[in-house]
Amino acid sequence: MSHRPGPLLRLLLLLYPASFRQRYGREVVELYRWRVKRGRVEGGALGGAVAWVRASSDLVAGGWRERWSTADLVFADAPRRRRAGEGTISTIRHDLRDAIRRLMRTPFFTLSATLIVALGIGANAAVFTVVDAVLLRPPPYEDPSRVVHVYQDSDDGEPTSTSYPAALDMATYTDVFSGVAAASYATVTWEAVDGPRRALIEFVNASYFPVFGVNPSRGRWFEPGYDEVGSGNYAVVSHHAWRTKFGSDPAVVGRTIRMNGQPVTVIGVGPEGFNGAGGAFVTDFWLSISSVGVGGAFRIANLERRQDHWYGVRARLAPGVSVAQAQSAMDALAARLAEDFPEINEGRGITVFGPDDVRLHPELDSRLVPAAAVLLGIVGLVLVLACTNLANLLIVRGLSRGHEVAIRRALGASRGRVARLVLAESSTLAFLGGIVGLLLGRWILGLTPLVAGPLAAAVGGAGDLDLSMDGRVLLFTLGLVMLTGILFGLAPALRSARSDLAGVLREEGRGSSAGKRSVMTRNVLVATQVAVSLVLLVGAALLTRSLANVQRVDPGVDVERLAFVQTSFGQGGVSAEERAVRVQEMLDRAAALPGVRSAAFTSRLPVQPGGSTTTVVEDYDPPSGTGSVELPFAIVGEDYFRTVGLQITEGRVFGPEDAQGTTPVVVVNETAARRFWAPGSPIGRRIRPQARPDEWAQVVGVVEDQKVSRLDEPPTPMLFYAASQSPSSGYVLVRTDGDPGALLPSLRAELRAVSPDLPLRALATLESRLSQSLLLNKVAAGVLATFSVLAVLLASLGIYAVVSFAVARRSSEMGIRIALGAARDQVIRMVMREMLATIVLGLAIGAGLAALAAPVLERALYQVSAVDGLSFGVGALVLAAVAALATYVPAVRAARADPVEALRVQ
Amino acid sequence: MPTSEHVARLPLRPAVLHILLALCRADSHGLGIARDVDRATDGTVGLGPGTLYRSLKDMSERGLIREVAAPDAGADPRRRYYSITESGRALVTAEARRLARLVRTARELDILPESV
Repeated sequence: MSHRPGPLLRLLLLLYPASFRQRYGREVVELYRWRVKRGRVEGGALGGAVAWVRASSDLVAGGWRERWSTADLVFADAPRRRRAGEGTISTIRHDLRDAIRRLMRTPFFTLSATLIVALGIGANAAVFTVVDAVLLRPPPYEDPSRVVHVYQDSDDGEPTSTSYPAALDMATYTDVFSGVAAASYATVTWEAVDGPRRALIEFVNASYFPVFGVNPSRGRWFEPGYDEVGSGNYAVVSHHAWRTKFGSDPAVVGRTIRMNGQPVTVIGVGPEGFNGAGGAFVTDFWLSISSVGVGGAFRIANLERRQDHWYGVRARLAPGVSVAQAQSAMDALAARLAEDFPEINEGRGITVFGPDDVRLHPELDSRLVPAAAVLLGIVGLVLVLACTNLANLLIVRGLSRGHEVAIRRALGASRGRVARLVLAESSTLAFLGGIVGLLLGRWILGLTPLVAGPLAAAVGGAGDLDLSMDGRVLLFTLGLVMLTGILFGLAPALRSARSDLAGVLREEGRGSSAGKRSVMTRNVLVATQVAVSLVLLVGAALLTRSLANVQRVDPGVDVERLAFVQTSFGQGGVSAEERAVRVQEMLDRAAALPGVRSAAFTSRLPVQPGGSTTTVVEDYDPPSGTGSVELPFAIVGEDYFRTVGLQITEGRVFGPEDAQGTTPVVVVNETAARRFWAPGSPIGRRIRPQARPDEWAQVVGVVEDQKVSRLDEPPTPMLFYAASQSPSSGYVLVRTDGDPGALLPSLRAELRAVSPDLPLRALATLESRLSQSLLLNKVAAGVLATFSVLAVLLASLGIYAVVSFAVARRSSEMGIRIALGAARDQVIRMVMREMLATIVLGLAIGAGLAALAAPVLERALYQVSAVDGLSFGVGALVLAAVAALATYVPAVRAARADPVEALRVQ
Repeated sequence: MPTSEHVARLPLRPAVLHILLALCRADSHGLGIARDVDRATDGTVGLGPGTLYRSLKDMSERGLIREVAAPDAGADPRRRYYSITESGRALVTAEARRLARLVRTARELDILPESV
């Protein structure tokens, strides 16, 4: 019979301490084999199996007890505290009590350690809460695995949105869909009791709640009849908005509120926890399709227009239908639409996304997921930093307690027990840090509305984020706490368990192998900290440079001298003519104000994300092969170009001759002229919206480029149509001689005079709006900068602690050196040289990691390479300087040491 | 020697009792002890590998048994042989006495016939 144990047996033996294995392992295997063999001889295969199970479980239980149990092996009725089974628990309890007592003896250490852990865990808890709420949490509605997303292709061929008529067509496929919900987001001004507020709404059909399988918590949901325009304006307020904006007032059901100047009847309150199609992004109100007029007259036209893709569709699969079956049904629909409406739907596909393929929206997902990954990565790094730092502190603490540990060992504490003491300490710290971290995380989340509000406003939106810390976050944090406790306790625990007993007792292990190993461990920790800090620093530097570049971009217009007012006439009851008259009156009054040089109308502000139309350019064959291009446009008044400071480079601007009914005219920017007609002149060429074959507009002028949607965009072609020919709602822009901000109050007063009930939706300087549009860039740079400062701080603390300790341990060596005539600066140099290698190693690793991680940021960078030498250099330099300082201070202290004093310690 | 404290802490764990009894018969090694105990109890007490060697280790440390040289030249040199010590013997005697008292009481109460 072979005595070499098989793999399972080897594994089982590993449960025992090494000393036990060495001494008894061979014989344990022998007895194990004998038992199994005997079982087989006496009871056949079954007997063998029973014996095998018995012997194995005996081995496992024995291994566990050998390591962890303090139960008495000889006496069955040992005193209660030593009874089997309770041993583990009572030891752990004892260890923890001991750890807490020791931690309380060093309150400063405990406090700073707790804070360091709390920073790491708090940042992680906060970020996880956001990511979980937005992307991970199971949707709060009935059987989400049966709800699919359905999108038509956009003009760019990406499945992103659907026209309302197409949504109605989809709903006829009742064999694959048991219900089809169509929803279109909008931002409205809601006249709350305390003044106008922005609200995020969804115009939805009556199938919306049934598709999600939810019911209103109060009142009722829309009836199918509400899908027809003309049946009245109805709203259901979301539970979140009901709680936060109506103070959970039950009387809200049945009340009539005003949105964009129109009355809307609230008929119900949504279910708790359901925020709408956006998940964590809270929809304040759902409005029936019959209410689309609240969003503007064009929304009524929208419902009929197949070229307008304003809706998102969620559908519930009919019982037994797969996503693939739904997809083939939609392929059939796409083919039919292409046949019926070739001008609009030729080659336009329809895609069904399974519930796991898309969370919010294909395009939004593709932006949110990488952002979430980057954020989680950053806070993960911060946690790693916190852990390495604490590991360092604990090692130092452990070393200064070398005697205590050694005495414990001498008194018979096993290595495992000593390691457990350290682990108990680190777990206690992790737990404390976790609690403080959760509070910190909650506080950080409390700040998000401050960022999220302006952010939403900057992209023209509104609405809250529903970020509650739930059981999932608690669980995640608990996991982090356990991981943290082990992560930063492990190295110190192993170290103190391994420590050389006699050496420590003799003289704190100076020069012993354990001492060298601990220096090694701590150098590895310091190198890790330096590396992680460098990654964060480089990221912050890249984003900051990018932000600076964006801020330096010339928007093409005179931003410093412009203010604007956004108006909306109540859509009901004001004819186009009357509106034109009122706008003209507003322009005249604004222009007459002292300090105003000119005033002009525009449907779209410079550098404002906004709509585009599918446009056919005569004699231009776009590379896409579709025959049309997506072009952004603005509808502007005569004085627009003069007001914003755009020079005309060819042809003319709009004039009185471009009245309603005359040939439509258009002004293009230089990029458009170059792209579509170079080298020829654009003047006299024609363009038209793709959907209207007869509406050719003639190019009459070319103006300088301006930034269209974003400061960091490449040169973008743009069209300007004459407001006199196609009336629109929009903005009054004024150009001032002095500070435009100072003019805002008088501007407001003057416009109120035109009509007192005129809702002013926005009033600001263009400069403030532009800086708001950079908020996202600023937040990103700010977050990374904050974390990197934190990282550098932690790293420098770590270096400081390591060097201080290393120096203190060698104080007698230093003393001898100085006594033998070494100059103090020689000692300083020596200490610094020794740390230098570690720091340089950390920098090199960090630079490598940063170069690997940088491509993640690539998309967020403007005119900065992801491996920008300057950012890397500055980051490394800052870090090196801080590290040098953290080394220098303790080195100087060491050099100042009195040699006599140092030697007397011997 | 078993102190009064030892006696006060009786009963012994079954594994320990049986190991001590086996060693009262003759010095033996682990596998031998297991085999012996099996035979003596008709297989009702089957000492598992973990239990046996942990007990042997603990009992050695407490001085209830001690390691001895192999009794004859033909023995496997890699096996450890054990012998019961004085204190081990005293302890197992005390335990046997305790059990005997138990048996006597049972007989007085007529719950155990004389023949068993």
